[in-house]
Amino acid sequence: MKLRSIILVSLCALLVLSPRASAEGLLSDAQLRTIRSNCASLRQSLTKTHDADAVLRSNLTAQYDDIISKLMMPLNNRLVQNKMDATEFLSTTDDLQKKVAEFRSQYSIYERKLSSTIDMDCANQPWDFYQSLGVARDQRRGLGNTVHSINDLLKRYRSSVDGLLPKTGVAR
Amino acid sequence: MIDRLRERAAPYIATSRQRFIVLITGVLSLSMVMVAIAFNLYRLSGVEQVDMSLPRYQNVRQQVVHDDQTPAFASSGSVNDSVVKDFIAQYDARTNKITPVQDFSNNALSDESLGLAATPPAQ
Repeated sequence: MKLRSIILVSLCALLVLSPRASAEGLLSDAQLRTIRSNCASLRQSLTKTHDADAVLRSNLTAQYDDIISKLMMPLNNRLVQNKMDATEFLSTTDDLQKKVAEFRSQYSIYERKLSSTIDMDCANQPWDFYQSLGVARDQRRGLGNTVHSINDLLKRYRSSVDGLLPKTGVAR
Repeated sequence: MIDRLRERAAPYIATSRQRFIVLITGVLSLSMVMVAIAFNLYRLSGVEQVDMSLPRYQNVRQQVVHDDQTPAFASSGSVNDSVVKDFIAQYDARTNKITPVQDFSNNALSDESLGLAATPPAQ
């Protein structure tokens, strides 16, 4: 019984302390001092990134929406009306719409994380701040990967359009 | 006569006043609840996060590109070489605007960018 309670307490302590311990392990004393002393400028840098990302997100989604609604969908309709095989076009458009929705959702999660990191008291909680920054960094990387996937889908659609002109050989 | 009429009307006047107060209070409460629901929807749906009209985006707002002028590709008609070429021209013009753009892959949040890179201890 005593052994069991010791194990239980140890497990609880491990669960509570592990995030801090890992962040502490990753951070050197010099880095901790830098976070504490440059807290205001760090938050300012993060705010600049936050605002630049908001503009980027706004411009990218507007362009994606325009490409889908003003170009892809009309061409898909036209192909179907002319009884041409539009399977590849429809499938790529569908994939792209899903990816853009994923991008929106990922951005929303990332924005919340970055905002909460900016709002943190990094002078008094440097470990928590750094840990939160690490999560935001990973989420931003995920956004970058999604943007790359979207670009690949846009290229795939362009290749399909090229396939409509196999004989004329339109220069890319 | 008038006094008697006033006495008789008194309870009705009081009731109508109470009704008016209840009406005003009810309308105000209902509008407050509706505003609270709308505000929560605005926040929870994620619209707030991308609302570039917020004061905090004042400095970067002009960088947002509004392109409502470009017409949509015609969704009906035949599909021939010239139509496809026209589509390709429009498609390339649009995609070239976004593909080379600096995306989220840059290291804006890296230790190096934020001046947090660990420096080796001085020998």
